[in-house]
Amino acid sequence: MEEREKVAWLHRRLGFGVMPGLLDEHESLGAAAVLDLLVDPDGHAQPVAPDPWAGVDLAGADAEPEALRTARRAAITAWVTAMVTTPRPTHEWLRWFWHGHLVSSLDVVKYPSALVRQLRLYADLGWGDTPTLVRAMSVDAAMLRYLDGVSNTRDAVNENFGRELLELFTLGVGAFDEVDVRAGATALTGWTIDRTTFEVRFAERAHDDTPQRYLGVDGVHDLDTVVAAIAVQPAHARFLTRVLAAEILGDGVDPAVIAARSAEFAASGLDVRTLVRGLAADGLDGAGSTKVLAPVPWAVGLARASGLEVDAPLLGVVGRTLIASGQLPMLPPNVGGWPAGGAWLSTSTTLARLNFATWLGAKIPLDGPLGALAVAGDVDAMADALGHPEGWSATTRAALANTTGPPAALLAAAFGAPDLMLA
Amino acid sequence: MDALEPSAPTEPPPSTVSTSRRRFLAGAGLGGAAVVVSGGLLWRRVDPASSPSSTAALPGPVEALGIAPADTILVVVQLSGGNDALNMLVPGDGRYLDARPTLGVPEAQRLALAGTTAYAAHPALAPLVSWWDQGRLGAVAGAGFADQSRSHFDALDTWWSAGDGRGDAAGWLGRWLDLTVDHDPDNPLRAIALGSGSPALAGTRSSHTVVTSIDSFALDERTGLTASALAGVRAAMSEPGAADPPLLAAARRSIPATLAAVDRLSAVSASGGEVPDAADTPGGSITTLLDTAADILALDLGTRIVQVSVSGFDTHAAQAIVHPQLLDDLAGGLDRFLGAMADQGKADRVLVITVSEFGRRVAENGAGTDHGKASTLLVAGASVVGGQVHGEVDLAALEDGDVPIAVDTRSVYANALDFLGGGADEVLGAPYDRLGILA
Repeated sequence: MEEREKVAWLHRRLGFGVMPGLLDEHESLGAAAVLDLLVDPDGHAQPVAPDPWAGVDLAGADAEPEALRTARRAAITAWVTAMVTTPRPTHEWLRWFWHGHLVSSLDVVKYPSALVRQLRLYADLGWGDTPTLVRAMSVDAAMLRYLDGVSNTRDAVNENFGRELLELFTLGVGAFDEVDVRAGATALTGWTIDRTTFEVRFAERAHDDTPQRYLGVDGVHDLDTVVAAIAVQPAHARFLTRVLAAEILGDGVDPAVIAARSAEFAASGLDVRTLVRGLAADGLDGAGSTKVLAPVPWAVGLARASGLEVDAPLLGVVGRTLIASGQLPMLPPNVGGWPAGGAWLSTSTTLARLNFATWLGAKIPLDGPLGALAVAGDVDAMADALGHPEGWSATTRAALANTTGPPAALLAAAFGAPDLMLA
Repeated sequence: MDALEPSAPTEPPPSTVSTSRRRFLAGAGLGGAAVVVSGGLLWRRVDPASSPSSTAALPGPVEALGIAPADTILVVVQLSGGNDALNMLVPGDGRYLDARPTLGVPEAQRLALAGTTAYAAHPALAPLVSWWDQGRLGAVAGAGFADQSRSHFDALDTWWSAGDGRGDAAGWLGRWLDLTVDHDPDNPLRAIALGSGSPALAGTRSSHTVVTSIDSFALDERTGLTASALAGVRAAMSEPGAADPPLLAAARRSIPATLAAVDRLSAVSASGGEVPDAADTPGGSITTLLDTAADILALDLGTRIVQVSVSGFDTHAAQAIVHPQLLDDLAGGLDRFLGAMADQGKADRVLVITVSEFGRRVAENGAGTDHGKASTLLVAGASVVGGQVHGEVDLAALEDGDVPIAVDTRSVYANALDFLGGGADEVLGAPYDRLGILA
C-alpha cells in the first residue's frame, strides 16, 4: 500500500472514514504516526471529543411513554452525530465496537439514560484492561436489566448473564461447560438496581456466597472472584484477540498473527490499547482482508466524507437508512449483536444503501469540493475523496466514467457503488 | 429526526455468523459462480477462531434426482430465542406443575385438544383450536438434534444447517434451493425471508430475497433523482469484473438482485421509500409478517419458500407476561394466514412449520425459564396429519433437567422437503423416518 492508502485504511478500519482534507493532512504525517494519534489521542494533543449526550434530555425512569420515545430518538441521534463529527474517530469507533460486543439493547433496557451510562462506561474503560471493563459491565444497570441480572437471586438463580458472559463476552464456546454457567450465575446473585435512579446496589440477602468451582478455579463466590477466574483463562486473551482481529482485519487472519497478538495482549495485562494498536499495525503490514462494511460505518462514512452540515434533514435520512438496513445504534437484534459479513449485502440492506446514495447525490452542492469533482467528471478524485485513494475497481470506474447523466446522478451512482460497500 | 425511532424488538435485522467458530455458512452466497447474493444469518458469531469453511459439493442436475417442478409453498416460522414448548403444548403429566409452581399453566385454563388427553393448549392458542380439531394443525413434540447445545448460537447453527454446522456452506433450505435452482433460475422471489435474513435459506448457487420491512421495500425517488436516471450506470457497475474478488462480486450482484426484487414486489410495498416511524407498531410481529407473506403469495410470483423470523422468545424473566403475548401473536397470525391461504385457494398448496432453536428448562427459575433442549414444532396445512401430537414430551426421563429429544428435527424437515417436491435425502444427507406427519 502507498502511504495515502495506508492512512485511508486506518480511517476505514479504526474509525468512520475520512473527512474533506483529512487524507492530505494525515498522509504528510505518515501512517505510523496516524496510528499513534488515533489510538492515543491524549498523548498526541488531539482535540477533545465532547460527550455525545452532553445537554441531551435522556428522560428518567418516571418519564411518560412519549417523552421516553423522544429521549430515545435524541439519544440515538446524538450518538450518530458524534460518529459523523468526532475529532477522535477511533475513540467513538471503540465505543461502537464494545456496544456490539458487550451487548445491551434499548428494546429491553427501555431507558436511554441507563444505556447511555453503559456507553459512557465503554468509552471510559474500553481502552484499558479487560478485567476492569468486564467487572464494571457485569454490574452496569443496563446490563443488569438486559440479561436479567436483576432477577438473579440466591433463591432463583437466573443463568442468562452467566452464560453470555462466558460464551459471547469473554471466552467463547468450548472454553466452559454447563457447570461453569451455573456456578458463575450463582456467584453473581444479589446485584440489583434502583428502579428510579438506576443506581446499582448489592443486596447481601439475595446473594449466594457459597464457594464454587468455576473455570477450574476453586473458591469463586462473588463478582471479583468471577472476573479474576475469567482473566486467568488463556482462552480469554485468545478470544478477544480473534474478535478484534475480525473487526479490524477481517476474516481469515493468519493464525500466527492471532497467536502473536494474543500473547502480547496477555503479557500487557489484557490492555486493549495494546491489542488494537498491534492488530492495526499488522493491517498496515498487509495482514488484513476485505470486509463488508456494515450499515452504520457505511452511512456515517458517507456523511463524513460528504462535507454536508450535520443537520436535521441529514440525520433524519441517516436514521431512516439505518432502520431500513437493519442496524440502528442502541438496538442490536439480540445478545449476539450485529452481523459482521455478507449478510450486509442482503436485499433489504442494499436497497437502503441505494436509497441513501440517491438522496445524498441530490444534496451535494455542485460548487463544493465533492460536487466540483462530479461536475468535472473526475471519478478518480471522487474515489479518493470517499476514502479510497487506491481508486475504483475497473468495472466500477468504467461505469462511472461513461455515465452521461447529470453530476447528481454521477454522485448518487458513486455513493451506491459496490466498492464502497466494502472496507 | 423522527425516523430514528427504535424499531420493534421483534424485528431483528439480518445478521451473519461469518466470523463464527463454526463458520457455518461463512461463505454463503459467495461460493459459486452462479450465485446471487444470499441473505444473512439471524444470530451472529461467536468466536472467529474456526477452521476454514468448505463449500458444499455442487449438486447434480435436478432431473436426475426426480424432483419435479411444483407449486407447493413451505412457510417456516422461526421463533428465535427458544420458545417455551412446555407452556405452549402443555403436558398433562403432573410433574409439569411440580416443576412450574408459578409459571405453569393451571389445568383449568388449558384448552382441550381433540384426539389427545396427554396434552392441552395454552389459552392464548384459542384461535388455533378449530384448525386442530379439523385435523389441519398438529404438533411434533420433543424435537431437536442429539447433542444439541444450550447455546442460542450453536443450537441455531444446528437447526439452520440440519447438521453439526461445521463446514456447511448452505442452510437446509438453501441446499434444496441449490438443488432445484434450474426450475426457476432467474426468480429472486423463489425464496423470501421476512423480518430478518435467515441462514436456513442461504445457498451456494441459489438466491433469496430478504425483506426486513415491506413498508420500506421501495426505491426512494423523492429527491427527483429517479431509478431510471440511474439504471444505466447501476447496470454497468453490476457487470461482473474479471478481477473481482468474491466479496466485490457479491456486492455487485446485490444491486441487480435488489432492483429486481423491488420491482416484483412493488404491488405490495409501494410506499415511495418512506420508512414509517416505528414508534409503537410491532412491525416485526408474527401476525404482521404472516400478513405480508399472504399478500406476497397472492401475487403468485413463483415463491416456493417463505421464512418468517421473529425474536423475543428468550424468556429468562417476566415470562408470565411476555410468553402469553408471544403465543397470542403466533396463534392469531397463524389463524389469519391459514384463513388467507384458504381464501386464495391455496389451502392444499401450503405447509407451515414453526421452529425454535431449543425448548426451555423444565424447572422454572422463579420469573422465567433458562435454556433447555427439546423443542415442540407446530405443523399446519391440508396435507398435515393433524389433530394429533407426533413425538412426545417425556417428563419422567429428563436429561440434565431438560426434555429429552424424542424426534430428530430432520424427520420434520424431510416431510417439508417431500412437500416441496423431493430431494430430502440429498439435502439431509440420509433418509429420515417421516413419522407419518404428512398424509
